[in-house]
Amino acid sequence: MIIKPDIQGYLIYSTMLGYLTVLLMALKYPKQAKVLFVSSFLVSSAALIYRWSVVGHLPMQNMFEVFLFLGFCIWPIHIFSKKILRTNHSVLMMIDGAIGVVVLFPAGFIFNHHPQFLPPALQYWLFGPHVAAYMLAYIFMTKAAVFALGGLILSSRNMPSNNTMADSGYQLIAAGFPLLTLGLFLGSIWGKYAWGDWWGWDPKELWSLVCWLVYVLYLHVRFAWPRRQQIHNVLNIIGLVCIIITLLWVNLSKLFPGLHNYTS
Amino acid sequence: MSIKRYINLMILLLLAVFIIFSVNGAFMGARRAQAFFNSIPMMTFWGVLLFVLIAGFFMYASLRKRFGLMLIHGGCLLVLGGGVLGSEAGFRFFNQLFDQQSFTKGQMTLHQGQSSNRVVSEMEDSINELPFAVRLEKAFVEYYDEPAIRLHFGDAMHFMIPSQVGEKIEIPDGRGTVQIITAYKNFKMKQVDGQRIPYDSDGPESNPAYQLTITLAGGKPETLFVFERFPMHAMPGKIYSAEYVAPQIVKDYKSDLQVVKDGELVKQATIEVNKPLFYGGFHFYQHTFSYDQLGADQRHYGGIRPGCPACISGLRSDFHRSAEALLSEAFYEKVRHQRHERVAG
Ligand code: HEM
Repeated sequence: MIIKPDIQGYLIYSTMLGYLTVLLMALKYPKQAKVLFVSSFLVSSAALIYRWSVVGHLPMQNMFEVFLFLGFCIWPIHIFSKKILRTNHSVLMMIDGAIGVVVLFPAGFIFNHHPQFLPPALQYWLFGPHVAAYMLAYIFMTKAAVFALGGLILSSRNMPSNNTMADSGYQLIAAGFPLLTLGLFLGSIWGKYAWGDWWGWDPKELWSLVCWLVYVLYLHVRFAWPRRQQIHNVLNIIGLVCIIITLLWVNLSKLFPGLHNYTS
Repeated sequence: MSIKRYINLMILLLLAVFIIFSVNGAFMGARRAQAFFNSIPMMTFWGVLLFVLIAGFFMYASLRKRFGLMLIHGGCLLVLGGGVLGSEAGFRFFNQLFDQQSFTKGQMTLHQGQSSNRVVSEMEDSINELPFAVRLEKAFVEYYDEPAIRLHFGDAMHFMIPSQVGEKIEIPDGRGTVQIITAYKNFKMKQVDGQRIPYDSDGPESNPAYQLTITLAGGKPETLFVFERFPMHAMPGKIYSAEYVAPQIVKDYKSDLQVVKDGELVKQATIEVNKPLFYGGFHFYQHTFSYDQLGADQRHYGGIRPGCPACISGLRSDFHRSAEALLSEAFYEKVRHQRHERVAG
């Protein structure tokens, strides 16, 4: 646990508090929650811009900055999901508020925020779009997995709304999958410029391939067995587990000695 | 209808197997995973995947009719096909077929001022010749931080000053003052009227140095030099010594390259990380960077050649008319040319 008693920390903590309040207020006071959600987004933008001004480059270089950016993506994707899903707005605000608190937690309390200089390999214009595409996709996939989990829980209690749950999960994956593909694509172009190869088979790359393949599998399982919603939901959740492993691989890999990883 | 069901199951099976292979590869580490995915048994897997993908286009009208589906499956087909053709096995196959000598990746090591057309291929450990020569004019490193100078005193006290020519700086505890008089990029000595005079040479080498004046309280000004490439000397009879604290946070590695064909300069560029030179079907990447070993004649400053060899890896692929190269993990290690312990800051 690292507490950050500085401007950066306060901006993160107030965003988290905002998201938490959105989560608590959404059912009873949806109008106020909506306003608060927008304000929290503005604070998270301030946190991102502040970080940008401190480090002097796009703040997506290390784990702290990645989670900060994830926290910033919450509201824009909330607005987009509201358009594509038929879910009740209050429920959607609760889900997004909760995801917001969870993704900002590592930025607020786990990873340190010592400013770092951008190493040579990261100085490339595709670096920003590559990471941004992945982060947006990750938020979509996280939300999809929340719906899948909801579907599993509801059906285990023989409650009917499982159908729409699995359906919302699919809508979100259908939105996130092109972004995931874009992230992979931009990463390989960048790889070509940085190391001269599109693909290098290193663990982080392979994990990102696994994520992508799990969603490809999900899409095809859905095509082959349209009615097996439990399987869809389970694959959806496995996808998120793989994303978490990919995102934290450099940290997790310390549990497996003997692995070489140049991103560490 | 039932054949479609088999194909559907086949797709799911292939994807599941691919996932298992990839997770397994992630635990192997990049080098072994690469060998695994390029192995002969894996070729069968790639072949089947390609075949099913192509068959899919014939079997399912939606893959041809719905634009999004066509794009994603066509894209996969291109990537897989390109991957097979561009792999080492693919290159070997076409080399035999057309009796040629293409290679996927290779490496060149050049010292400053040197030129060469020989590339050590990674594939066969063979040497391949480019139809032109690459010359390394100059190789250099850029840093985010500035060099500094640290003074050490006999009683273990030390004191850092920024490396700027300018004003006298007070040494703490009223010990005196220190001032940087001259900065040299390429320090050399010359003989003038029997005296050795330091000067800044404009040759391609580099030998960063500073000339300081230190005035101890109640003493006379004394002159001393510090060098990036040479460790601090203990100076007999002095209670202090000074060392050059080299910058450490690398911003970029760069090389000025020239492409020479038939004796003529055809292209000139400064490459850096993420910015290769492209010429004649080849990309040339900044790969590694190191300083020459210092010779035995460390004492003769003027006689030293601190040439900066830069290693560039170039690639050649006659087949694709585009070249690949590699940048290894070594690149992520900081260049260690300073021999001194360094206190951050
Ligand atoms: C192994 C060979 C493959 C075959 C034969 C195949 C075939 C199919 C078929 C028949 C569909 C259903 C089309 C429809 O809805 O009518 C489909 C959907 C899809 N496939 Fe594949 N596929 C293959 C591999 C892949 C791969 C490697 C990807 C990677 C991106 C992929 C991505 C997709 C996507 C995104 C969909 C759309 C699913 C949806 O709209 O719900 N497929 N594929």
